[in-house]
Amino acid sequence: MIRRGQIFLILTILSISFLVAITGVLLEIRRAEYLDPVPESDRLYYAWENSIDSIELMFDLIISENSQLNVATDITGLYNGRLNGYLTNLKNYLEERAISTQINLIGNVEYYNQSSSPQNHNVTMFAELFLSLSTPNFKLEQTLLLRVSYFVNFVGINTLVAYKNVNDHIIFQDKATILGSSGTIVDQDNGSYIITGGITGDILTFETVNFIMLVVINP
Amino acid sequence: MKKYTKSQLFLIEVIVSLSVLIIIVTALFSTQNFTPPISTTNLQESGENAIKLLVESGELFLYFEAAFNNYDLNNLTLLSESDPSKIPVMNTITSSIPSIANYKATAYRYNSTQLDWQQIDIVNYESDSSGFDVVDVEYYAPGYNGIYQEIIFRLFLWYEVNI
Repeated sequence: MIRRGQIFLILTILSISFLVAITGVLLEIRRAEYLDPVPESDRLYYAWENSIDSIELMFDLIISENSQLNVATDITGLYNGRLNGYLTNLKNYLEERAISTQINLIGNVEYYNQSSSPQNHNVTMFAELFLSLSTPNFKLEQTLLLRVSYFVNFVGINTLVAYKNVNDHIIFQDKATILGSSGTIVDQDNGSYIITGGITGDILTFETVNFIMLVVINP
Repeated sequence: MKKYTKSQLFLIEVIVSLSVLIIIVTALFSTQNFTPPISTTNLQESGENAIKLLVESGELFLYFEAAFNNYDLNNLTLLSESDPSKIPVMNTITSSIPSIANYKATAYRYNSTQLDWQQIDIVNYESDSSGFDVVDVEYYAPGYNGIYQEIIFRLFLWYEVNI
């Protein structure tokens, strides 16, 4: 028969071995190198960023084409076709890189070419898209609302300000070409242009570096 | 002196042993690693940043324009590395990657009549990875500055020494 003291001894040995075993396993886990469970995720995040970037560039191209023609609003069929054509190309490109892609245009592209007064002019393009990128064990998908606007307007009588608005994020437009002024124009390199010696009623054609054309009248 | 009963002694023993256990476990897990893990810059990320800089400054598109013209006019030759549009691209890439890394980049355009991607230029064409691990970052754009022309800029990066 085992004596009481012996049972305590055995239990102590058991508990120590459990402790050592558990500690050993935990320390091993702590020391082990972290392995990304989804090694594809970085590549997919980058592809996502690139896709959105290129869709925005496509918006710029469509705005550029239409502002150059200076066409009126509401030729939605044209814009839809142009954007859808490009989305197919983007899908093909991504699928060549082994990323399953689904891109749909939801509703219609809206395009406005408007000015609330002769001293300001803006063009806006708006679209809602569904974008889904996936690899066998990772998926990114979202509905995107993308609104790109280009604005140019007079502040006071001799300063012209130009900026781009992408989903309420402002990017000032410098290095633009301005034609039709009888005064001299100095580019401030921060999106504003100072016109000295301009005559009231000058029709100024403003063209950004990516060929988006806007028209304003000198006040 | 007060005499403890046996059960009281056991209780004290349990409390002591538990506290010793907790102290040991805390001590074991609170030790720092004495040798910090080797930190290396993620080349993939450096490449992505380099491309972001090139796109946002507009240097990439100026370079593509020059490369197109050169490819079409000069009978399919590479653009000179002292070309004023190529130097900023090379400088931006060099400054965004670690100093022990090297790069090479290729430029493609989509030919809509032949329906294939044409390689029109190479940046830093003298460099060679000579067997080191290479990562590549690609940038795809539908066009730029009002011209619809699909382009791909592909940047290859590698470390010049083994780490």
